Amino acid sequence: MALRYSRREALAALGLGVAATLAACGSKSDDDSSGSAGGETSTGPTSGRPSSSAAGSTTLTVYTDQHADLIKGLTDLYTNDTGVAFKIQNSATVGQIQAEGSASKADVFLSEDPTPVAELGAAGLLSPVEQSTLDQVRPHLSSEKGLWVAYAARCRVLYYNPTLIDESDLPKALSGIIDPQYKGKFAWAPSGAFVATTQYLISSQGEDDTKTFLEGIKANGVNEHKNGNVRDTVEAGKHAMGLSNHYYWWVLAEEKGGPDKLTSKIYHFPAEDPGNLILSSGAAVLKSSKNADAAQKFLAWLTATDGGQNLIATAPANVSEAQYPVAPGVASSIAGDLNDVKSPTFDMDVLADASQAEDLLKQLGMSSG
Amino acid sequence: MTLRGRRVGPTAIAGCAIAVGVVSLVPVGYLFFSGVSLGDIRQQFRYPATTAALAQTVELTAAISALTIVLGAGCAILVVRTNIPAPRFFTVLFAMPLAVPGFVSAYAAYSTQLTYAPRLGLASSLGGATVIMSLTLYPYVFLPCVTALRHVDPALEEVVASLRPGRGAALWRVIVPALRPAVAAGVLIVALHVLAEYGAMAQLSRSTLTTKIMAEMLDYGDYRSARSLSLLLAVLSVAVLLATRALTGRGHARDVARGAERPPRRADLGRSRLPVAASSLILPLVAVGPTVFMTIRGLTNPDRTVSVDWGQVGSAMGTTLGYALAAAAVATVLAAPVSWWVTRRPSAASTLTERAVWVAHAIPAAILALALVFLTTRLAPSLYKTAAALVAAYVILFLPLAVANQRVGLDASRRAYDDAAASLGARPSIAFARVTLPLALPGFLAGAILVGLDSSKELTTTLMLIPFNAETLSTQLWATTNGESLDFTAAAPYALMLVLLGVIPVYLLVRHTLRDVLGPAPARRRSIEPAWREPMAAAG
Repeated sequence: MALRYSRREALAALGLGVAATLAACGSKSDDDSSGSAGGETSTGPTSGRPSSSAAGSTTLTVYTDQHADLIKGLTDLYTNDTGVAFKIQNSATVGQIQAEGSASKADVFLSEDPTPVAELGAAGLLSPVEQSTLDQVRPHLSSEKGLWVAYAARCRVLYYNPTLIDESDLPKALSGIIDPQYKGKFAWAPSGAFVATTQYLISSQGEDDTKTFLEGIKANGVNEHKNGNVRDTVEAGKHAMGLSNHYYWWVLAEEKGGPDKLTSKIYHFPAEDPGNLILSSGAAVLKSSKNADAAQKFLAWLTATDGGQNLIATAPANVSEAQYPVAPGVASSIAGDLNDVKSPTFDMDVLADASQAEDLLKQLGMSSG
Repeated sequence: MTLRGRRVGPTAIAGCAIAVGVVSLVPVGYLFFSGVSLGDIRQQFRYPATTAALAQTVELTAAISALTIVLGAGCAILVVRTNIPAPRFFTVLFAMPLAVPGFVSAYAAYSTQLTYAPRLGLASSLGGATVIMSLTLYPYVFLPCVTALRHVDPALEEVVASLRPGRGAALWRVIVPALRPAVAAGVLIVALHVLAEYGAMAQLSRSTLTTKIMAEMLDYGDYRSARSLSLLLAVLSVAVLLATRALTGRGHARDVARGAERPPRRADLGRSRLPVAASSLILPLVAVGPTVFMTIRGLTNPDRTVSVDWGQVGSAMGTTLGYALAAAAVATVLAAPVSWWVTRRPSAASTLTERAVWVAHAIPAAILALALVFLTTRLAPSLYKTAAALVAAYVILFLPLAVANQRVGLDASRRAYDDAAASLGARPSIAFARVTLPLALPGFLAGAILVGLDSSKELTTTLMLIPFNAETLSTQLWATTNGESLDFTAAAPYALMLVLLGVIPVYLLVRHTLRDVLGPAPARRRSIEPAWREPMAAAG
């Protein structure tokens, strides 16, 4: 009642305001191009040029949620070898790519866990990876539909603190950890890998057995919320054991100056066991990519023994994150050979729909967040 | 609310203000546009953990708000109204937590505990998290309280004391009413921070609506549920906006027959003067001690194998500074019509517009970033992944800080001055440039500094919108965490730079307050005034 604008006045005012706002935005972008020191450093001309013909002037845009140092190591090496430049989006999510829609700038997605690439594949956003690239990688690690290729792998492990428990007293299988003798002695975290393990258990053993197992974990273990916290609390002696991923331990060892500087140790369950579950890091080419040829070439290099696999195998832990290379015959100089990890195999594309695991974990109050 | 027979002021300014308000609501509009449903929310509440997270969100918001009021107002009374030694020193010290990003102090507290008392579990308890978060946020209450206390006319207290003898009377009749607007403005910022905080809550093992929203997105790829829960969070933030509005109160004796300003009366602490000062050191020590300690420990760690690339650190520093300055400048320009409109032409429409700019402050930064990704790629694709889009995000996020401070500045120059200038023949533009602006400048600068400071600490939105291959100090710091635990060996150089970068604006902010703490107030304030007083004009 207070404002007695005529409608025309109000519209004019609104229009002026929007114009002023836009003008401010425009001038602001001018400010920035001169003011920001670390702007876009890769400025390879990409627009409209068919890639691959002149690799030297190609720029690939990589979206990744993998550890930034590993991606930087890999892309820097590829730039050195081929002249292909990179624009990198770290901490990328499927949500960002979906929000971008058809205008997505991403050529390649490099995931840490299989879940994001499986989701992108299920959403129909990926182009199939070339068969020759898929063939460069050990079996059962890549998408069965050929929508993404594994370029690295991590596995689930048990950390233990030898001052609190002898190796001989450790459970012989993941299912043994819910035995009453371990009550209150181990840490776990509801991480993405934990969700993936849960989904694997549901698809391989059924929902009832999985529920019993999870109830045991909840009753006997301590939720430390993050894999990094699991590692740190076992190392610090708060817990005798902890369920986590293998590489966190190696990263800490690197920081402390070597594996011998750590009190805790890594334990792999002796027989084939879900507690050793291998999860791939996946590489995929986006359907919307305008550099699909160059992107496929990058994936071929990434999975080649003398390409990306060599870097993952030999780089120090602060670059490789001690991840396992996935080409046959290539082993990590830090973590060893993936063949020594006795993991069951499964179709990781099932992780695109982890709603069964999600529902179960939420019902039990074991979901993160 | 009426306009008391006056004509509506310059419509262009009102229009600009409305436009700014509308743009601020864009992220919430995106929630509706891209699909939310009550069904999704109901679905989530089938799980007891969601109800528990909602309850904990309310608990944490209430507890942290209460504790920051006690700490903020308490410290302000200590430095302004007692004869504590070295009050300037304590004012700077009490403000220092502003320089440390919330997620960094949470990591530091957690790491310190892990290093020295691994079995304690205190930092990740509800009480521990409340204390740690309160210690990083209380300066938002402390600074406005200092200014508010300074401007209490001692004459009022003398009058009350003479009418109602007894120590409590002046406190309850004069000081508490004078503090209410400052506390309300400060606690609004605190509460909205708590509602939207992710990094610190996750590290301290707290489950809140925001951590649930992030889990829906990152663990389950369920963006629809994430948006639906964000809507619920927006409702909570509206409740906070209304509650703090009530806390402001409807007026007090501040402006009655104000004479020349006198320094405030100081209570004599007597023999406990030194013990009080010594124990006051504990607060800042606990608040920033772990961060400083872990950073120094990381830098001097003899086992560190990774050498620091100071060139990279410097480049990240330059980028951070550039974005922060741009955000501060743009926010200052865009906030001006809103703050001018609400102080000079108070009405339902202007108050509503002013409140609208706060709403974006309360939804999780990741949702805000997704909204901007969606809109930029469709409306201005050439701006996507440029500094302009990132700065726009900072402006939407932190605009309220600019508006709130500009209001205080404009309030210092009363409307009567404009009218006096006009009656002497000055055109409105001249009156603004020569009368209003010089008086309001401190508030404008304080707002700009706070926007710059918060922009330089921001992480979530930055990760998504930053230009390809660019890095800020926050994103570099985050990269060393591997998304898990902050490793103070690799992160130390970035933590150090972030804190150093934060100390300068905090000092600038406090500089004016220092004058309030000691000595007579200047007749005309030119320095920066960090106050968040809600002008009474808006309530009338």
